[in-house]
Amino acid sequence: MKKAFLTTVIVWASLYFAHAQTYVDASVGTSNQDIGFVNLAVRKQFSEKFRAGLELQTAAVKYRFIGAKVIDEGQSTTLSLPISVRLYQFNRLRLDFYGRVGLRYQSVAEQFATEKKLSDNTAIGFNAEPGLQVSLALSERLNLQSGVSLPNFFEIRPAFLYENNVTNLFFGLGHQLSPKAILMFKANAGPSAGASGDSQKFNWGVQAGIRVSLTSGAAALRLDPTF
Amino acid sequence: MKYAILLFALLTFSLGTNAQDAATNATAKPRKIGWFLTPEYSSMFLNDHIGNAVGFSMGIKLFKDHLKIGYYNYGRSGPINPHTINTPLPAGMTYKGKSSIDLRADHGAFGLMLAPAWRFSNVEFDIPVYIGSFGAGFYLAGDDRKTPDGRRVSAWENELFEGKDAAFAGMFEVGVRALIPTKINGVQWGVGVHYLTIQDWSTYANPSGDFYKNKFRASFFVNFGSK
Repeated sequence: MKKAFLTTVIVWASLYFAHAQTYVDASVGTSNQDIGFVNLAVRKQFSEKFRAGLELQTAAVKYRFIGAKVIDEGQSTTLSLPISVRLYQFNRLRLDFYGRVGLRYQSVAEQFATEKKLSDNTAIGFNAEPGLQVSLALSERLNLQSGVSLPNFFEIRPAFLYENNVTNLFFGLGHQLSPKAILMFKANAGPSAGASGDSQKFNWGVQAGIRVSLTSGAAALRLDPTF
Repeated sequence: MKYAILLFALLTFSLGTNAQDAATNATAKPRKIGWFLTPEYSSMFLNDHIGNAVGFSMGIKLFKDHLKIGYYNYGRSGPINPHTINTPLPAGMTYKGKSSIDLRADHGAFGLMLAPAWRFSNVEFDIPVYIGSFGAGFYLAGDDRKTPDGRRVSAWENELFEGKDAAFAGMFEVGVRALIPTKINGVQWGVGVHYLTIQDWSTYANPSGDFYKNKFRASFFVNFGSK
């Protein structure tokens, strides 16, 4: 496990030192799971076809789960590695494979865990999410994204659970503010199931923020879904 | 889930082999394989209410776009379907002092999609045939999800409904859809009507299994795809 983690860190660190267009995203949002969240991401465009990044999302919990029991307070933080690979492009339409793996940490106060008979007051989970993303350039400054992803959440500790499988439809809009900055809006929704029916039944979220290009060149209008 | 991953892999491979041609040489030679991605909302006409579902289909187009092969996935989620089904508990059993409970219903459907397609004038028509699996059940909702003894909700549901709160079955669905072009190449919107039948599905709350059996469904969607 240690070796795998170390290898991952080295591979991703070396990627980040590679010469490539760099984008930084900062956004805030809300969802059925979180009162509010902050999302920070760095993405690198390694080639015309391939983009990869690192994304950190931390949230104040509204309705989440530890051991398939509800928590309605506490915090949830996810560190993930999103990638996208261009599959097709013609005129203004583009299709990308989109994927993400991530680790999630959740915690509540010990007193809350005792009162609600949770098996622990912290939890670690894993997310694997394949998807397809369509991008459509509506104009020189406005870009629309849509598509579907299938997030699969596994709780690893305190109990191993297939917590949720989501059919996640998403929608995004990117508006270029300046040659190096875009304003972005994202929304997602879809039915979900897992943990013998004890976890989320439906997920939705909305998010708004800004993307800045750190290197010269036009800002990337194409957005990645965030979940 | 296996279907989804396999379809993603097939689609990625097939489009990956054609992506360069499509991106750089689309006018020089016709493509052999196309793609589609179709997020949808649908309404199912049930005995005493209309069920709301969200889903998508995706896949490849062959034979000059006359045959679509892909994966479909749609689901009815409780939180977007407030309709409840009053269900008497087994004789002598109560839950929070009640001898009957208002349950919500949800389902998930996924599997293989085959759709012959033709174009008349600018409008495309297809006949999607869905063959797959259908999982559906009834669950404790609202305050009833706060169990009296802190146990998981599913543990209570298993006890109250004699282990038959949900079930899986095979499904077959056939429909007809109209895909109407927009001003943007590769983007269509459309409507469809589908007829669903499921076999040998039965639960405690719906022992006859007629809740979803032999029902019509209307779909509304946006279709993205190669031109």
